[in-house]
Amino acid sequence: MMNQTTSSGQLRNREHHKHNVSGLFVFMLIAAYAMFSLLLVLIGVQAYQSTVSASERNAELRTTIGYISGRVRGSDGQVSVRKEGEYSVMRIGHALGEEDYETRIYFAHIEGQPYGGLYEQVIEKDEEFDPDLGELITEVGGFDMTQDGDLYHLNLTSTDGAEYGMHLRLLDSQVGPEGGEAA
Amino acid sequence: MNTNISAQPSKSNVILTELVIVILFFALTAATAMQLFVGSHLKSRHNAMTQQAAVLCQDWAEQLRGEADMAGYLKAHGFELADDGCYTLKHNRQTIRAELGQENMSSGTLSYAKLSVRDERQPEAETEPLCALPVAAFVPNEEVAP
Repeated sequence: MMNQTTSSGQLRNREHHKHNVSGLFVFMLIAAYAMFSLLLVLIGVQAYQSTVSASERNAELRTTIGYISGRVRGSDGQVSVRKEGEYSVMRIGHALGEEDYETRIYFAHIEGQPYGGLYEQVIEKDEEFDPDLGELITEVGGFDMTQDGDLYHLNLTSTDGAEYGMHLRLLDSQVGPEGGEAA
Repeated sequence: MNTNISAQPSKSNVILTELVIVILFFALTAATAMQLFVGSHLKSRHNAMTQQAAVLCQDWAEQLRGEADMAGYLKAHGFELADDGCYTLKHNRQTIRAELGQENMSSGTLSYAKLSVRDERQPEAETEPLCALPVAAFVPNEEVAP
C-alpha cells in the first residue's frame, strides 16, 4: 500500500514536470511566432517606405523638370536666367494683347519647412521682382538655374536630399538664325 | 484514474498539433510575403535606375542637340573613346555610351548620336540598355543657309 502511494506520487511529479516543459515549449513557439511576425512587418514597412520615397523623388524630379521644360519649349525663345538678390529667376517673356508680360520661375524656401518650393508668377515685364507674389508649383528641397548661351543648367535637390543636374537647350526654331531669340 | 492520466497527453498533443499547423501556415504566408517584398524592392530599384538613366540620357541629349562637333564636345566633357569607336562616360553607377555618326549632304552636314545608358547593377542577362535616345544636329552649308 505504501509502495503504491509512493509510485503514484512519483507519477504525479513526473506529469507535473512534463506539463511545465510542454508549457514552456508552447510559450517558446508563441514567442517565436510573435517575433517573426514583427520581423515580417518591419521588412514590409521598410520595403513600402523605400518604394514610396523612390516614387516621391521621381515625382518631384519629373514634375519640376517637366514643368520647366514645358514652359521653356512653349515660349518663343525669350528665356533668360538672372540673379535677383538670393534668387535665381528664370524669365520667360511673352505678349498679352498690347502689354509685355513675363513668367518668372524661381525657388524660395517655405516658411516653417525644411524644404522649399518652385514658384511662378506672371507679371508685367517692368514690374520689380517680388518673391512673395509667386504661386507655389511644387515642393522641392532646392533648385538653382544658370544660363550659358542657349543652354540652361538646372540643379535640383529633392526633399530627401538627392541631387540631380539637368540641361535644357532652346530649339533651333526658338533661337533664330543668328543665335538670337526667335521673333 | 488511469483513464484521466492517459487522456491528458492526448489533449496536449492536439493543442501542439494545432500550434504546429498554425506555425506552418504562418511560415507559408511569411515566405509568400517575403517573396512579394523582395519582388517589390527589386521593381522599385529597377524603376529608380531607369529614372536615373532617363534623366542622364535626356541631359546629354539636350547638350548635344544642335552641337555640330559632337565628338569634340563629348571629349571636352570627360567622355573617353572606347575600342568599339563609341564614347563612354561613367556617372555614379551608370555608364552612358554615345554612338556617333555623320552624313554629308549637299545642303549641309547631319551629325547624329545614339545615346544609351546601362547600370552596373543591371543583371548580366539584361542586354538592353535602361534608356536609349537618338539626337541629331543639322548644320547647313554657308551657301544654302538663309
